[in-house]
Amino acid sequence: MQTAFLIEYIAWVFVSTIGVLQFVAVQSKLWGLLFLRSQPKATKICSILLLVFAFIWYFEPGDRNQPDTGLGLDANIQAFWFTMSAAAAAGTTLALTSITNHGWGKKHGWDRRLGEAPPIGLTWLSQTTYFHAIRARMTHRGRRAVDRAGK
Amino acid sequence: MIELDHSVMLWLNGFAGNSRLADSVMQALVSDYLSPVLSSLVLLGLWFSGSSNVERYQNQLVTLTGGIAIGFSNAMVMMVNGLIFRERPFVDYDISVHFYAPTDSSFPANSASVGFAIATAVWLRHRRLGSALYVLAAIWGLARVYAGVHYPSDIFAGAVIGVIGALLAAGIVRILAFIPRNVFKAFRMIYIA
Repeated sequence: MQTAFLIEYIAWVFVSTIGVLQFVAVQSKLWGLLFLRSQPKATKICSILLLVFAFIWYFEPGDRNQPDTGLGLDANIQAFWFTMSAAAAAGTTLALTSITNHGWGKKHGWDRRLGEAPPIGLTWLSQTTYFHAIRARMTHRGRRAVDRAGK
Repeated sequence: MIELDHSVMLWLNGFAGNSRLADSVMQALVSDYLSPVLSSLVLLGLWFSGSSNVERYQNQLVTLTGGIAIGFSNAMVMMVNGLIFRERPFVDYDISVHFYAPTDSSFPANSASVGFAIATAVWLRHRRLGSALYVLAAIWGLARVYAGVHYPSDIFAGAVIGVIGALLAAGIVRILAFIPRNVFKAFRMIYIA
């Protein structure tokens, strides 16, 4: 039974994190992180609804007040699974939005032929997807290594 | 002072059991999950928010400060718990309890320390958002008094510990700024910061 309680907690955090990330991505104009890139307003509304749904789903069935010596989760376990679940939700968002925005992300404005390093930080996800950003960084590093070996 | 503390607890707890709606709302508010997850989601959201790398870096420092503040306030609560043991209100009085029966010390409230630690960490940079989190932490604390598991002074002491923990965390983050600066720079290279 404690496993069921834990799985519900993980699912709740996972869904809530996706909602938060979509909301923040719209606010911060990180278009490469959006599932519905061309619909920022709809994304904002959907993210709020997703959060509300997740909280109602988690608390609606009844009493969640269980002692950590029984069904409940103690603070350390809660913190650990919150981190794991939130990281999984962030990873899922980065991967899925890289796939859904693949075509758009190609036109990210960085040209490897110029030899300049690609931009760093999440801010670049306003112009490209996570996978494209990582690929650009790896391409640049590989090219630098080849240049160094050539010298 | 102790009398006032007990009277306020009895007065607040007196509302429990009168309305099913109020009780179910309070059962959600008092839980170990609602307020901590909501506050943690705010910290998580701050990690990604900002219109530039500089602004985002400042927000990420808030997330880091919040995390450290939780650790500090928990440690301080544990230290106080080691020195002082106070029975829970439902042990001292025959009252209606709307929570499970914790066996650890009532003083100070760990829940309030965590809630106020996160709120303070956020408030230091984002006044409005931080104030909203203060309200959430205060409601969480009041719900615990309503549920019959804490006295108001437990909540107050927890809140003070939380604020101190957050201020200490903010000071340490400021003094050791070169650590997050370099770690976050590495994170920016792989686009997670």
